[in-house]
This record gives sequence, C-alpha cells and structure tokens, in this order.
Amino acid sequence: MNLKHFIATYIIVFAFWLLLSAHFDAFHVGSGIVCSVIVAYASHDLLFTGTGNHTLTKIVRFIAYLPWLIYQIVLANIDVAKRALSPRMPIDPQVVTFKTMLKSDVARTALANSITLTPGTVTIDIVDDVFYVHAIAKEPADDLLGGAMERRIAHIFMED
Amino acid sequence: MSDTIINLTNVITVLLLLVGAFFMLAGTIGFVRFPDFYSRMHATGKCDTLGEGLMLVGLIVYGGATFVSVKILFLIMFILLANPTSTHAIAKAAYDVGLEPWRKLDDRVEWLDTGNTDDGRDDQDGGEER
Repeated sequence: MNLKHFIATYIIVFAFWLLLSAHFDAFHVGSGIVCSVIVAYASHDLLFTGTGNHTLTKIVRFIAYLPWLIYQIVLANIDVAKRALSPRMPIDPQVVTFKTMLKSDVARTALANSITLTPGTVTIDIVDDVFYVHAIAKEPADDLLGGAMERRIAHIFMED
Repeated sequence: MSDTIINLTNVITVLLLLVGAFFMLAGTIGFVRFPDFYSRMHATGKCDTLGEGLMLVGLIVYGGATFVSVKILFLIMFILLANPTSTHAIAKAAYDVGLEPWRKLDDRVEWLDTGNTDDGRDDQDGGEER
C-alpha cells in the first residue's frame, strides 16, 4: 500500500465530507474521520492511477482547458437547438472514423467525452486506436477531422 | 441599495432558469423530431447538459455563497462527466446491436423531404424497428 496515495486520498475524501455535511460538531467530524479512513483505504489505488508523471501540470492544464470546453458546449447546444427547431431540419447524419495518436486511457476518455459534448458529434466506440463518431451533419464531422481538439487533449496530457 | 442587489440577483436567476428551460425544450423537441436513435442522442445528450447546467447556475446565483451552492457546483461537475459518458454508453450499445444510422434519402422517413408531416406518425418508430 502506497502511503502517499493513501494520505492524499484521505485528505480529499475528508475535505469532501466536510463540504457535504457542513456540520462541524464532534459527532459529524468524528464520523467523517472514521468513514474517510475506511473509504481512503478501500480506494487509495483508484484515484491516482493512469496519469503517470507530472500530475499537477496535467491538472492545471485541464482546468485551463475547461473554459474552452464550456464555450464549445454552448456552441453545441445552440447548434442542436437550431437544427431541432428549424422547419427544414438540416441534418445529414453520418458515421466517421479517425485514428487517434493518444496513448493513455485518461486522455482517450477526455477526448471521447469532449467529442460528445462539442457541436454535432457523439462518440460511439473506440476500437484499438480508431474512434467511431456519429456526426449529425457534414460540417461538424469536418471540424472534428481537422484534429484541433485532439491536439488540445494531447497538449494537456503531454502526449504531443 | 440592497433592494437593487436582490432585484438584480432575481433577474439573473430568472434569466438563467429561462434560458436553461429553453435548451431543455429545444432538446425535447429535437428528441421528438429527429429521425433516428443516434440523432436523438445528439438532442438529449447535449441540450440536457447545458440546460441543467444553466438552471443549476441560476440556483447558485439565487442561493449565494452557501454550502448548498457548493453542493450544486459539484452536481454540475457530475452532470458534465456523467452525461457524455452515458450518451456514449447508450450509443455504443445501439451500435453493437447493429442499429444502422439513418442517412439522408432513407425511405424510412421520407416525409422529412416532402415537408408533409401528416403521416409522420407511421414513421416515428422507424429508427427502432431495425
């Protein structure tokens, strides 16, 4: 058992407990300490895995990535709302595939979820290196195949 | 002065709730109108994320800096994570079963091209019948 991981997990879990309970008397804090030890013991090897080195840099870069992602989510919603409400309903769904250069599971998950959240595309499956993406029209598919998002993700997880 | 601030808070809250509700409505309309399973996933998977997010942000603005607001903030983060993941899981399940995505000029929903929506009822389940 990795003590460093255990303590880090414990601190996060206990902080989360305090946040959610919002009671600071002896009973609630005491049961929080006990529960956090049990949970941290059970899951200390789950939280810190698969990110490799430079975890802090990756977290900072990921947080810096969020505003752009939220902007993309807003665009996605306006896009879908427009297509749904337009009387002519300008959709031309197609499945596109592309090969990814990302290696780690975390990076691929981040890319898959980002694709689903951004305009007009939903990740269907990842088989080996190949992403299967359902696009609702031609333009979103072309945007995706441009690879801008993949480069951003690669930058976050230091795989570029 | 404090009355003005309270009014402003209320206005922002109502605006966020309304915009959020609009996106939920647009997503639901898309869900009904889109021709097949996958394009419906677009409507529900995306619009719900932003719709719920905006409404919850509205509640945070209304509640101010309290513990409840922090909990709502966590709720938003979980929705941001869980929504695309579940969308992907459902889409993958359909793809694995072999459900073909609808293409333009597919005869399953030809009323889309003719603009005649009267016989749409017959085709509403077209996507799932495969």
